[in-house]
Amino acid sequence: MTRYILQRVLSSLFVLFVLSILVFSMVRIIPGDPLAAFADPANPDPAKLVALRTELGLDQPWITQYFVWLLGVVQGDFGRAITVPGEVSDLIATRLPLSLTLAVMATLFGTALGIPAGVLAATRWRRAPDNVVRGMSFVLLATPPFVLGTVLILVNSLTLRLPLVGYSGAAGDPLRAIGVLILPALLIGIVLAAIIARYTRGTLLDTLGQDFVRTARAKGASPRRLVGRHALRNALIPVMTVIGIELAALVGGTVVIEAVFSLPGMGSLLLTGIRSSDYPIIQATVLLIGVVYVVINFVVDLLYPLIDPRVRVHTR
Amino acid sequence: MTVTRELALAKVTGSRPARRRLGPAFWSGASILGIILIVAGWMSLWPPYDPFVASGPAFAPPSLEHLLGTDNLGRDTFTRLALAARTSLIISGAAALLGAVIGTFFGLVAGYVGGWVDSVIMRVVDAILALPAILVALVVGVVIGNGPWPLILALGLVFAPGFARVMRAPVIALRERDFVLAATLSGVRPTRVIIEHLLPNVLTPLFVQFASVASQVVLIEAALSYLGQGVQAPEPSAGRMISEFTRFMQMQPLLIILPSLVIILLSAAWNLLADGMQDYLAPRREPAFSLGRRAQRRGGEPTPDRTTTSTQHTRTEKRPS
Repeated sequence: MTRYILQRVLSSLFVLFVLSILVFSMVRIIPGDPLAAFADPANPDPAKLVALRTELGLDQPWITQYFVWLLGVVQGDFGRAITVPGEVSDLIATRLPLSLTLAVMATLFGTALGIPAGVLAATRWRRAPDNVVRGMSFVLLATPPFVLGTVLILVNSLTLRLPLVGYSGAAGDPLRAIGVLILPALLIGIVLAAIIARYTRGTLLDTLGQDFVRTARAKGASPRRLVGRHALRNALIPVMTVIGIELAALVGGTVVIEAVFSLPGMGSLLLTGIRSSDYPIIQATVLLIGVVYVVINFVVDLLYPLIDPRVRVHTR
Repeated sequence: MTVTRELALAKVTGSRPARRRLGPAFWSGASILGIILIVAGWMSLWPPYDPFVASGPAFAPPSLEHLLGTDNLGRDTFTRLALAARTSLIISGAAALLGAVIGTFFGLVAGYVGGWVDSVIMRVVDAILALPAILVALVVGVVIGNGPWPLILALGLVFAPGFARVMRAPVIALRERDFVLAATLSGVRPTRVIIEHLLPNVLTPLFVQFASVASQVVLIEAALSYLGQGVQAPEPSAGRMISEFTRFMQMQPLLIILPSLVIILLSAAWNLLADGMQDYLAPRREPAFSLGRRAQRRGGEPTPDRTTTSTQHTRTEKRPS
C-alpha cells in the first residue's frame, strides 16, 4: 500500500515537472514583446526598456529565469502581471474560487443526471428508455455548451427576458454568486451528463453480461438488488475515473462558457493573458489548471484501493 | 485472433460464423460526411453567390433566391455555411490525421520498445493530457498564429498523446504473441516488425480514435473561432458566425440556429462513424437480464459472443467545454 502511494506521488511529481517545463518554454516562444504595452511602441525610451527588462528578469538566461520562476511558484508567487496592475497571485485568488465552484457544480449536475440515466438505459437494454437516453446523449455529445448557452439566451430574449448574463454585483455575496452560476453549470452539466450516461451504460452492460450476475440471478436475487448491490458497485469504478478527469478538465476548460455568460473565471483570465501576450498570467493560469488536474487525478488514484479491494491486492 | 476462434467454433457447431459487418451507425455517419463534402465542394467550386460580398438585402428571410436567407451584410448564408462546413471538415480531418501519425508513432515505439523509453514517452503524454485540449490549442495558436493551418498543427499536437495512449495498450499485448516473437527471433528488423506485424493489427482502434478525435476537433475549432482565436474573418466559420450574430439574434434567429446545426451535424457524423467502428471492433455481450417486459430477441439471429476483452474501450475523451 505504501509502495502504491509512493509510486503515485513520484509519478505525479514527474508529471508536474514536465508540465512546468512545457508551460515555461511554451510561453517563451510566443512572438510579441510584452514590454510593448508599457512603452510607446513608436518612440520607445531605450533606458526605460532596459530598466524594465532588468526589473522583470527578462535579461537573464532562460534557465535562470526558469528556476527563479519555479522558486517563486512553489512559494505561491507568480510574479507581477505585465499588462494588468497587480500581482498574478491576487488575480488568481479572485478568480479561482469562481472556476472551482462552477466546475464542482457542473460535475454535481452531470453526475446526478448522468448516472441514473446510464443505469436506466443499461437495465432497459435496446428498449425505449435505452434508445431515448442514447439518442439524447448522442446529440448532446455533439453540442458544444456555448451553442446551448447562446440558443438559451436567444430563446430567453424572445420570451421570458430573465436577467441571465453577467456577474456584476455578485462578487462578495456567495448566495447570489451561486445563483448566477446555476445556469452555466447546468449547461456544462447537461453535456457532462451525456458523457457519464454513455459511460455508465457501457460499463454496467459489461458487468451485467458477466457470469457472476447470471449466477446471482439464477440463485434468485431480484433484478433491483442485483443492479444496486452487485453490478453497480463494480460498474461505477471506471465511471468515477471519468468523473474525476472531467472535473479536473473543467477547472480550466470552461473558457468558452465564461465568455458566453461574461464570468470572471480562470478561463477568461487566460484569454486576457493570451490577447495581450502577458507571460506571467498565461504561465500561472495554465500551470495552476494543470496542477489542479494532477491533484484531482492523484486523489482519484488514492480512492481506488479504498473502493475496490482488488486494486489493494494487486498493488501489495 | 478473433477470426480463428470463430472459425474453430464454427467447426465444432457445424455452422458458418456470421460475418461481422459495419452497422447502420457507421454508414449513416459516412453518408452525412459524404453529403456535406459534396455540397461544400460544389459550393466552393461553383458558388452561386460571392461569399464575401453582399448579394441581397440584409437579414433577408429564406427565399428561392437565398435558400437560407442573408446575414447582416447581405451575404448569402447558404454559401457561407457551406464554406464554413468545408473548412471545419478539412481542419477536423487533417488535425486528426496529424495527431494519428505523431501519436501512433510514439505509441507503437513506447509499446514495442518498452522499458525506460516507454516510461518517458508515457509520462510526457500524461503531462500533455493533463491540460484541457482547448487551453493547449489556445496557447499553441498564439505561438504559431491564427488561421486554418496553424489550427491543424495545434490541434494535431494536442490530440497526438491520446493516440499514443490508445495505440500503446494493444501493442503491449501483441508484443508477446507468437507471430511477433517468431518475427523478432528470425531476425526481422524492429522497424519492420512494427510496420508489418504490429500496425495492421491495431488499425481498427486507430480508426475509432481517429473519428472520435475528429468529432472533438470540430467542437474545439468552433469554440476557438467563437473566441476569435480560430478561423479569422472574412473566412466563414460556424463558431465565429454564432459569436458575431449574437447581437442580431432577435432580428434573424436563423443566423444563430443554422451555424449551430452545422456544428452539431458535423460532430455527430464523426461520432457515428466512431461508434459504428467501435461496435465492429468489440460487439457487446448481451446482459444477463433486462428489467420490465421481456426484451425482444432479434429474429433468431445468434447473439454475438464477445470475442475481445473488456479493456477495449478504445476512445480517450478530451473535450472542450
